[in-house]
Amino acid sequence: MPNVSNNTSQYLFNYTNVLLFLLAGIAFVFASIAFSRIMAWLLGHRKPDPIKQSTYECGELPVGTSFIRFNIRFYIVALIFIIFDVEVVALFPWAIIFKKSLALKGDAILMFAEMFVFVLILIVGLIYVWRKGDLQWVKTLGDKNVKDKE
Amino acid sequence: MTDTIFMVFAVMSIASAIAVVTWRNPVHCVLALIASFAGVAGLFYLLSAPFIAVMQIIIYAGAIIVLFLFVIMLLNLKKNEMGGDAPVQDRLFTVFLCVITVIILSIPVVATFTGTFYDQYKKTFPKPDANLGITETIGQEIFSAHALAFELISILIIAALIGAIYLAKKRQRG
Amino acid sequence: MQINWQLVIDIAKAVIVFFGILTCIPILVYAERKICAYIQDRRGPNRVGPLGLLQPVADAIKSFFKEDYTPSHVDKVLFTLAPAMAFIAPALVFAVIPFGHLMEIKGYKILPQVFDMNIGILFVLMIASLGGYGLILGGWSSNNKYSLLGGLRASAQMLSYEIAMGLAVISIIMTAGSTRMADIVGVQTQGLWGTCIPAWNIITQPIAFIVFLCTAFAETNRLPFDLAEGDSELIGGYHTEYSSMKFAMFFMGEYLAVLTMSALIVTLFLGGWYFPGITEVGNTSLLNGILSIFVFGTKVGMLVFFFIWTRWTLPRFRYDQLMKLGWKILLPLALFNIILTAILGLR
Repeated sequence: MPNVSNNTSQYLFNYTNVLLFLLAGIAFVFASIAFSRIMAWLLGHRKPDPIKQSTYECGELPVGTSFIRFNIRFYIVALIFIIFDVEVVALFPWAIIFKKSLALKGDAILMFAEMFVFVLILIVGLIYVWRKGDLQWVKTLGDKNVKDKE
Repeated sequence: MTDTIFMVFAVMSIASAIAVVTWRNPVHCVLALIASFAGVAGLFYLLSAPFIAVMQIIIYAGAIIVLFLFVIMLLNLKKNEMGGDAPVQDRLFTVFLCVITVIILSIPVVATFTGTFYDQYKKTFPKPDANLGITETIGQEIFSAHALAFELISILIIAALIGAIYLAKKRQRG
Repeated sequence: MQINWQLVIDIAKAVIVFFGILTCIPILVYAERKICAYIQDRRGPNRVGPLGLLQPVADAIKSFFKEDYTPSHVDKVLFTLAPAMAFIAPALVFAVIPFGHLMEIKGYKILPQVFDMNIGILFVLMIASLGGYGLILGGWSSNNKYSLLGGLRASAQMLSYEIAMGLAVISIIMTAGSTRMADIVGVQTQGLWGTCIPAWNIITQPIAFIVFLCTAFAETNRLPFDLAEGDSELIGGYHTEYSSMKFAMFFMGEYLAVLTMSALIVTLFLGGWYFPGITEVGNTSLLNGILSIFVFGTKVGMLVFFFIWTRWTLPRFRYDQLMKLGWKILLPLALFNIILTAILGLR
């Protein structure tokens, strides 16, 4: 195998550290859930009955199935989110080196221009979804007669 | 130590990738996919490319998987709607295809790390620069050598945005 | 065999920090109940122990011994996994937060931070992007329409505010020129305009601070952003079907999120462990280290108080208002702030 870079060894202690932190978390969560189950089994009472086991709807009998058709807006929000998430992520490397580039005036202006064009194009995208009304939660879908309250 | 961690991440990503295609419950599959991405991110981190590792999680596990989840929940297939098992010959054929794919894909990998090519590789390429994967280097590369590509990304993103929204709402409009 | 004490210290640190933040949760719960009581002109818990101080203990015992029933209609694996995820995600964020100055005792370095990661702040955003899964999977696995709606709302809300949060963080990275938490704190320890006023990011980046504060509230699902629970319309939201310790995990996860978000805001905007005149930069004595942890703790405590105060003061948003705030106000504001920061930097 090619050498998987030597500088991981300097991470190693810290690395075990963060893994340990994660393991402590996982161990704690499942140990306490298991402990509470055992305790409830030993000391608590367990009286399952069909009503208790059914879906809780404020004590009323459940109406319909649990799987409802929900608003498609949730889906569209997730779509728009991915686009802007990629944008945010692409800006991270830029943000890191921007401060260093300030030392050279010409460099910095070029850097700024690159970011500005990038952001500008995405602002156009934002304006597009905004104008199309996709950022509006309560929106008329096809029905033009219902005016937005906003 | 690094090898052990590598093995853990590698097994994790492969095992959960297998789970993604074999488990029947779509939401469980999505969860396995997150685990798979996490394993791949760990591998990237081991290769001292932490930025790519973080990217892997933020974009794939954090954003795209949420979309998958929403789609699965929107469709909300019941057990009986998901269809039964495929006929035996179909399943055998699937296994056959998988084996063939694995063999074909492993030929270049094996060839790379054995034989003369690997010797050549070791001679010509020095140890990878430790700073190669860190975010500063990536930033410097993107904004000097690949500035135009970077700007084009934004156009690609905006095209994806407009296209996705148009398709998502096509049905409702009509 | 020679014992590597540095390694022992590092491992002990991880465990101590984990149980340290775990101990903070009951304190937070007690503080919340007491403060909310006084805001509403009540006394709050005052029966268990002096001043009701043992109330969290009683709560813990109760959640351990409650009947842990799993409704028959749930997806059992995810039903258990979801609260675990909701608890672990905010805990992991704390791993990269520097909560004190480096101490050096007999040649051993003790850095009050579990993991001095090169990409610290990106790690935080990474965990934040996974934070919503606990809630949405909890909602889905409960097989209850109200839970599902709660989970969906939680995840759409977290998505919407993550963008603005990321953009606010970008302007912080721009001022620090690094993604390491220690560097971000380091920049804030310098004096501003040659005076003793520290260059805390709350002063140099006020817009980013406001944006980040709003998104922090949204990401922790606290009022005024608690639409995922929305007791008046969704029963209890994603945790409607939960009982006993599994419910307690969601509950503790929420307080843990408040704690880590406060710690994060302190690190990014309020100078971290630094306070002019109390802690010194570069002084690795034990006293300075302890003082710096104390300063950090005080700042976090004040922010936690602010979180609680807000919760019991503001009413809940409507969902369309929530989306409007996230996408139409905070997102453009954060973008504007980045461009403004760049222009001011160029000047």
